[in-house]
Amino acid sequence: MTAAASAMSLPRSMARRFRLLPGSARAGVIIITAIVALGLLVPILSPYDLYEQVGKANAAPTFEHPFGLDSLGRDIVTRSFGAVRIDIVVAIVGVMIPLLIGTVVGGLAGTTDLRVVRGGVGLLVDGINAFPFLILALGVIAVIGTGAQAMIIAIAFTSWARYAKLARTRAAVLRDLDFVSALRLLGYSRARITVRHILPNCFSETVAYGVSDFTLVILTVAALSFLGAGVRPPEPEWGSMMADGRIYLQSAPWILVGPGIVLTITAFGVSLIGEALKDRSRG
Amino acid sequence: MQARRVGGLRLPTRSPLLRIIARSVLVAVSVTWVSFSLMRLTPGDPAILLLGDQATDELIARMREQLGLNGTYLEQLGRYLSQLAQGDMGKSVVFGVPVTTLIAQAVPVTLQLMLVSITMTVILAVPIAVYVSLNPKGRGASAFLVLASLFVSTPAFFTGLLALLIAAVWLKIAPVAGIVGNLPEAITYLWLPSLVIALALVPILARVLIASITDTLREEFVEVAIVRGVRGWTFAWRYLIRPSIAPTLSLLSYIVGTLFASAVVVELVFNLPGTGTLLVGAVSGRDYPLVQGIVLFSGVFVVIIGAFADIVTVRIDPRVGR
Repeated sequence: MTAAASAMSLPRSMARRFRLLPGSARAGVIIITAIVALGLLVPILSPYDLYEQVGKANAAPTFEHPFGLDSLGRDIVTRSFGAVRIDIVVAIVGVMIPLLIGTVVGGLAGTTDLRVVRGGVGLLVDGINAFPFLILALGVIAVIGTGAQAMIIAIAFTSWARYAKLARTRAAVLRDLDFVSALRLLGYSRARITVRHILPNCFSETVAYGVSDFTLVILTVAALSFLGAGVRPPEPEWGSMMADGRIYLQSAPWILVGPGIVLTITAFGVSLIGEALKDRSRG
Repeated sequence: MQARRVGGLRLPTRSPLLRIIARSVLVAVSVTWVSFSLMRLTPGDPAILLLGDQATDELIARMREQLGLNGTYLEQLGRYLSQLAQGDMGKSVVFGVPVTTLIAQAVPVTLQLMLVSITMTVILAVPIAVYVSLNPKGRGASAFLVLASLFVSTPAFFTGLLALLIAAVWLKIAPVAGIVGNLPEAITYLWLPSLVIALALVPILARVLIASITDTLREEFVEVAIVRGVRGWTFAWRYLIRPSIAPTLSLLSYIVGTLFASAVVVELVFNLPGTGTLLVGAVSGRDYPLVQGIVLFSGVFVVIIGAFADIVTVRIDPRVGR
């Protein structure tokens, strides 16, 4: 097939794949597409600025401001959707980095013949996995400081071990399979077998897990910011906006409702997709 | 459970009990090493970060000593371990009190919160799981699947704040925040935060129970019981729930870990002076020894619970662990 033809069939094959998904996953894809589109469009099309005061502080919802105004008089609709960009980007990077590190480390640890390496990596992985995710992430942030970048490092430090555990188990199974022995008999080098055959097989498993992990990471990013350990104000971010709402819970409860709803819908959409992929990889 | 192997090491014992304990001890050592290494991740010198650039060399040296950062890496590790063995986690930089004292004050609140939450979770999840696995094609089952995804994706601080708003501010059926006394009378303060945690945990527990009960339903003894005419709660408990507990127990350490993490957020929302509130304060105050102590405590606690669950599983079902 020529490049042009395959490029033309790409949307069509995507449409076919979409139709083959179970109903709940299709709903998830629609939700996420809508959220991302709104996240890109609302900050541009909205008559209000993300950072500028547009009215009285803590003003109740009106027709012009359906979610109300926050404690600095900024429009909450604009900011709730403006937060999509930073939250989704941090979550995507926060899933991809540990997925890469974890799969490679776990895959290598599962194939190596060095007992010490296998045991050592295994222990370290079990040790990190024992900690509650949010608590270890908070511990890392206490040491390296707050901000989006620090949050990604903290999540990566904590999450890679979950992927490594999956990849290690998978690689240990793979290395004893017939096709790997066949490759070895054919004279392929160990490095080539690992890189070309074992790691890709590990990735297919960790990527499926990564999608369902995405929900946890989105919620953790928001939780860290809610606790004041994540994205710093004035950047629009769901968790830190809701921390603002917590202060005015009695007088202006609408401050937390807008970002809370957008965050929940996003996490819900992702989890619908993740569940479907998990069921499929389970067979 | 996978007690036979620790990492890639084979343990030279056949007793499942000893294997579980040996594995847990090794993982606890790893947990300790991770929390020890945590403070050494800093890009700069923690002592200078705490004291500022203007601090004199003498002050910095004293702070380094207080944080256990003087000497080589191995010296530091040795000192940390020997102090831990004596029950000494260092002194809080902010409060000037031993870290163990602060944790000991906060732990009862967190434990009581966890206890009430887990009880609520079980009370809610078991009937749901029995109902859904007996009617897997019904409306209830599909409603459960959607609601489960929804509740798992709702952050605990959102549910918590909404619950606080509705129950405490509007309906006034719960105190606005804080806690007085201990269980059982503290239940007036704990039921709402526990319900918030339970809402996120019920779907997790129920899903595993459903899978487990569905497997149990295929067993012959269930069919025999149905033919014999066993009905109602006797049937549900003796033939469905009890044989399905073992797979659920392996989830216990995961549940306790999740509980611990959601307790951080929920304690802050409901103003409960537990380990979570202590940790958040320690993080923003850069109280390194306190952060390190709480992180270590949470990890070791989960390891101990996991070992306990493994031991109970082996007791209930001797096929496991062989």
